[in-house]
Amino acid sequence: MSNKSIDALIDDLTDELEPRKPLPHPVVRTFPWAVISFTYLAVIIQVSGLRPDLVHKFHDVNFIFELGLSIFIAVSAFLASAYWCVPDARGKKWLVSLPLMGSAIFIFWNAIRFIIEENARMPDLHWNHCYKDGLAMAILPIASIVIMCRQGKTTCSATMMSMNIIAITSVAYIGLRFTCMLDTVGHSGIAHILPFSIVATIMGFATHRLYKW
Amino acid sequence: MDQPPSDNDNHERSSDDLWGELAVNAQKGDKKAYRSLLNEIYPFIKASLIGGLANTDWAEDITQEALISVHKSLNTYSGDRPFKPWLMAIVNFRRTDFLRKHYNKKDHEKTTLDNPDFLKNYVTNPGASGEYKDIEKALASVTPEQSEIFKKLKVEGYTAKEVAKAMNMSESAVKVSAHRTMKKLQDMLT
Repeated sequence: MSNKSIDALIDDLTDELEPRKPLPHPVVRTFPWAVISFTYLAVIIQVSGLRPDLVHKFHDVNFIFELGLSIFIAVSAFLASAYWCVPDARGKKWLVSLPLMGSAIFIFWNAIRFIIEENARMPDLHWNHCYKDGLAMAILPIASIVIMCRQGKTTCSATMMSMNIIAITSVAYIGLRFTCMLDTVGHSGIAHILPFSIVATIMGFATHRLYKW
Repeated sequence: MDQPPSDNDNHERSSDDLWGELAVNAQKGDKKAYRSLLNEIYPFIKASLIGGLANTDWAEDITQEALISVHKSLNTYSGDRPFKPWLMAIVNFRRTDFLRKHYNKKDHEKTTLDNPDFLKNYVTNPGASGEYKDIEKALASVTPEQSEIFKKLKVEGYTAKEVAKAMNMSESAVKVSAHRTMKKLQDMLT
């Protein structure tokens, strides 16, 4: 290409320039998403109905640990998404390691529970209200995370989409722990997490379309 | 003890600061600052790309795409951050994207060795075998024994042990002979 056409390109880009509001800091952008998602979650939990033994469960160390870990995974995955929608991730690409580490601990801990408590026996696959509740809990967080990430320009859409999926799966999982009385790992795996692997597959196919720029 | 900054460091720091300032002004709609920024980063982007590409024309195309990407993502730059990492993230992204598209387009040129047309045009075509003739010519300049060892070991795929047994030599002598022949061929062919 000649210098003339580069000059013409620079002229065009300069002519098109309009004032742009810089993207707020990722931590600032995380806050509204967390408020929207968790408020929405609280509403859906109220509509679906709280589990009757919830008060007792707050004395259960396993339940508190699982809940705390899920909140950590959700927030850190969202934070990583917020950073990764800036081209250089503001120098904090390592943030993806937090939700991945949290997820690894979650999987490891549940795998041990599954072997010890349930002798590694999976429950039968049948329709359960948790499928419907989980997806209902995830709809607004999915929409808000995609809208938020599309405000930025990512240079690694696959990583960012993975973070998006981990964040919304965790949010729905937190919600289901408040509505579903079944605490078994087999049930959680099939009814609380498995539907999101389908959501993840659909979103995975849409990644390029959603985050292309 | 800290080293005093070199002229190069000062230049790096000053261009990064300057570009950062220009980008912040461009975000406010300052067209003059924006034009200066694009004019300044254009040669920098092109120079950073040109050494790592097989075709120098590609550098021009990727630079152009990178400038458009800078334009699209200007709102993601933050004035409290250095400019160059942000810019290079975009440049690397566009380079990878360009190369991915380029090599994906070449998929239709892929073939297998079972394809009779490919064999006819590229494998058994005497015109395409010039490089093998060079090697054969070079091999003729070594002793017949060295040539035979080299062919058995490097072309036909026998192990050093098998060649040693066939030629009634020690294994280490076979390896030394092959190594010397290889060295000689390299000297002749380069």
